[in-house]
Amino acid sequence: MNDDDIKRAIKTHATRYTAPPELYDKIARLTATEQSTIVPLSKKWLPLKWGSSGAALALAACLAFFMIASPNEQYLVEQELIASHIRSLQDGHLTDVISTDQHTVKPWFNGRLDVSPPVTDFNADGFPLIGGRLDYVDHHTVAVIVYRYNKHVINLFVWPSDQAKFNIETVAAQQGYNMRNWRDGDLQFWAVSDVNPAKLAEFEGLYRGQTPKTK
Amino acid sequence: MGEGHDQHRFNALMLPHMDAAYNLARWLTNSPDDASDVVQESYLRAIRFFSSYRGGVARAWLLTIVRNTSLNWLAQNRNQKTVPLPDASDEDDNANQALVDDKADPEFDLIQKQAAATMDQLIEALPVKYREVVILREIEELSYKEIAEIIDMPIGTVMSRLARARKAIQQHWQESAERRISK
Repeated sequence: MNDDDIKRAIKTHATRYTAPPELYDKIARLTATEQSTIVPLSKKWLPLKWGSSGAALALAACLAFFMIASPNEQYLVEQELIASHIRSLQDGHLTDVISTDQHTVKPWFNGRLDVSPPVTDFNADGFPLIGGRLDYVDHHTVAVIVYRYNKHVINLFVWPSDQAKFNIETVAAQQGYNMRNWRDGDLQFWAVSDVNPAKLAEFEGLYRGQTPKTK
Repeated sequence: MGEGHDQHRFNALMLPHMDAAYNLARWLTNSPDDASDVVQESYLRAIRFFSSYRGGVARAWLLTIVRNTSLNWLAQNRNQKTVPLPDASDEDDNANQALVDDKADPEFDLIQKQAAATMDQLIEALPVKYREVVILREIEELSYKEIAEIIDMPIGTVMSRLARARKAIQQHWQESAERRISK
């Protein structure tokens, strides 16, 4: 049996799997939705920062632009987070562990991640804990703690912070989603939701106020 | 270039390769469910990075993303059954080390199963870095150059991995064929 024979045997006998039709439909729908979020960086970034803001803000943005983080990196990670948020709203993608018990969710992350993010239930304040999942953002496996406010889902993404990489303590709005980020110890937190900006700010306040410091 | 134009272009270029994407993900993850997730994730990434697509073979571009997404998935997921070979032996064509573990394919099973099942089993038993070149070359029929770009290795490495993988498959294939015949 020579090399050609075995090549032929592989070609003849190895299975070529085909995508299930429902997967095809799902992805075709997904690309249609997702597509509306693609805008070339040059078009999107500048109006976003410069458009409606005053001169002071523009100057601040300008400084941030050059000194702190690369706008592309920041923009890309925001895009990734929004895509992940949208995906999480589709059937079966929201949580890997469903529990309103913080003592279930927190240990669930242990062993799956290098980080153990603080998990607290804010049910009494109107932000019940729904569960957690793992996701992949900015080349990291990240923890996502899922909360709800009325019918709105709040995804809180947590991963180790890279001091130099992103602007922190920022508020962003894209495609109808609001986003806030902050840092605590060596972790960074990004909250994404379609709740209004004030509610998201309230959520950030609760989370930062009540969770024990990490490390 | 308008967004609508981009969307049509993306769909026209990338959606036709979903079978190839699924096939690769299915072979690398060894699971239909995981393959579906990996393919979905890959398309989302492909959309996000579509602005970096500079023409060329769309299938190879997409498969690069699928391959990387699959490997990320494998790295994150516990149940990776194969054990990679030490890198030192990678380029050594004469290494006489068996790529396919004899114990992994019990004689009894081999005799019972059809040729296709046997072949699938032999390929599945290969460590991922050998398995991926076999799939890309023999099933997807990509060129050495395309495969080299996808796995980000020199063409020589692609060829030596393929040669080793074929040799390993051949040896076991022949044995099982003899058993099938003699039965």
